Amino acid sequence: MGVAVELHEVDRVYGEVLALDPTTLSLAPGTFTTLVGPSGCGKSTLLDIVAGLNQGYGGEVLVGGTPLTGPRAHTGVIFQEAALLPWRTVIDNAAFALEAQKVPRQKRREVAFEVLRRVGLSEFAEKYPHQLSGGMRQRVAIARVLSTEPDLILADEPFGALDEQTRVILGLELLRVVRQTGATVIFVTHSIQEAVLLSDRILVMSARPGRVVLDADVHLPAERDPSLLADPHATELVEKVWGLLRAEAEEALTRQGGSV
Amino acid sequence: MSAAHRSANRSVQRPRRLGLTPRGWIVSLIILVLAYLEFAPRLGWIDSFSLPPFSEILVHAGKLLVDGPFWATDLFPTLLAMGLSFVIASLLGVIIGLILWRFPPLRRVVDPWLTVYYAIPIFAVYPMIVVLAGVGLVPIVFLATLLAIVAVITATIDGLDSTPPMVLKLSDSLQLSPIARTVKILLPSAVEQINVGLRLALSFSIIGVLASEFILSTHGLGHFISNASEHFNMGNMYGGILLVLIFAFGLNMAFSALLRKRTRRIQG
Repeated sequence: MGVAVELHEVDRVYGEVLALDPTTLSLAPGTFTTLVGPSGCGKSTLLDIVAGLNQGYGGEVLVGGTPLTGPRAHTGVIFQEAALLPWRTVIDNAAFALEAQKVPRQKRREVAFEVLRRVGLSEFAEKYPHQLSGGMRQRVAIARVLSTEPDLILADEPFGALDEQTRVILGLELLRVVRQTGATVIFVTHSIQEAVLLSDRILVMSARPGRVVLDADVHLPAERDPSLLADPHATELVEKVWGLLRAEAEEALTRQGGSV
Repeated sequence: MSAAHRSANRSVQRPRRLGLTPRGWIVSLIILVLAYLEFAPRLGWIDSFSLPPFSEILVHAGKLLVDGPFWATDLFPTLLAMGLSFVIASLLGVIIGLILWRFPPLRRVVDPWLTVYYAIPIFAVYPMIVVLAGVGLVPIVFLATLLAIVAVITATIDGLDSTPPMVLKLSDSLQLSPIARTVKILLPSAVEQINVGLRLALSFSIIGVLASEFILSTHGLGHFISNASEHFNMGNMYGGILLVLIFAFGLNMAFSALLRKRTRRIQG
């Protein structure tokens, strides 16, 4: 089952730059929350903090009621690039998280094969990453995360490098498999459609300092498919987020122009 | 597929220049040089004492190879010294590379030295090594290791630098221990560049050992050649030189083939 995530006045300062304004958030167990915002808005910083990969922040993060001190065994991270190890076969990549947790070889290969089956890659178990497409590689990364039965999944623009169609398909696939596990998900993207289509809740962030400027629940049926983007509620939400982000982007452009 | 079709295919992949494939040119040139080395002394173009015909050198080298004392006092010590230098330079080089990469302040201190290292003629310090370590296996291995190790260190650092940041982040998120991180992430990521360093280290070990034997040894293949040349024993001298060329070439080819086999498995 999923785990609750709470942030109390969490901020991050680099030198003299405030990357993340003090932020307080509470995410219910098993929910799918998307962070949307322009580049440099601190959404990846926020995600890294919750992943335990970014130390030196202010405030407090509670995962499942326990203060966070570093990376957790039951937090799975999906990175921007698939971050596969090119010298390992697909199944050995999928089993790598379990290997890090010292699960015996036979057992971890069984689990890895099962999660590969769930993402539709069992036929490719003995291939190497360079023999796969970008979308398939990201599926292997998803399988690697699923193998540890995480209660919290953090995804940092995982499909950003893929084409629009593959991105939608993989997004819905991710949604399906994480719903089965009940894990809580925080998903970072800059695609507004992706955010609306996949999530229960959208947090829109502004740049410099990173700050949550919109916190909206998505009222769409639990079974998601691309046609839902035509739903009046969805189009309204896309408009609203787009409006906010456009203002942000224009401001950022002006600022860049002014500083040159 | 017909033979004509096959050869047509090959000529598409390997364009002919002046009627020969690149491989054809290499083989022809070797044959030409060997023919010259054989017939120039025989025809009196070259004094056959200064340069005996190639076939005689070959026969002499063959005799050396079945000569027990030559193996014991010359060939074996040389191969042992080369092997030791290569292994020590490889292991220590990778370890030092890992340490320098892991601790950037240390690396910043050492980096200028690594950069200018190969501009220093290391053999200039050989009198110092003789004073410190005397003559024998130890100073030879020491000098050859010194020559070879920096190629491995710099290659290791280069390789580690090229590890994708995402992969390092993955290793953090999976909480790998320092040893697991080194063995399962860092070294495999760097292995291609390390292999380049190892190939250089092999060449430097061979050069280092032979050159040291020329100047500071009482046995070994290098000493055998220099001794033969000082005593105008041309058969031994050319036989020894030919063996050096064959060993250096053979070791390099064998090592390259080994590395190719390994990387082909990964890259398909």
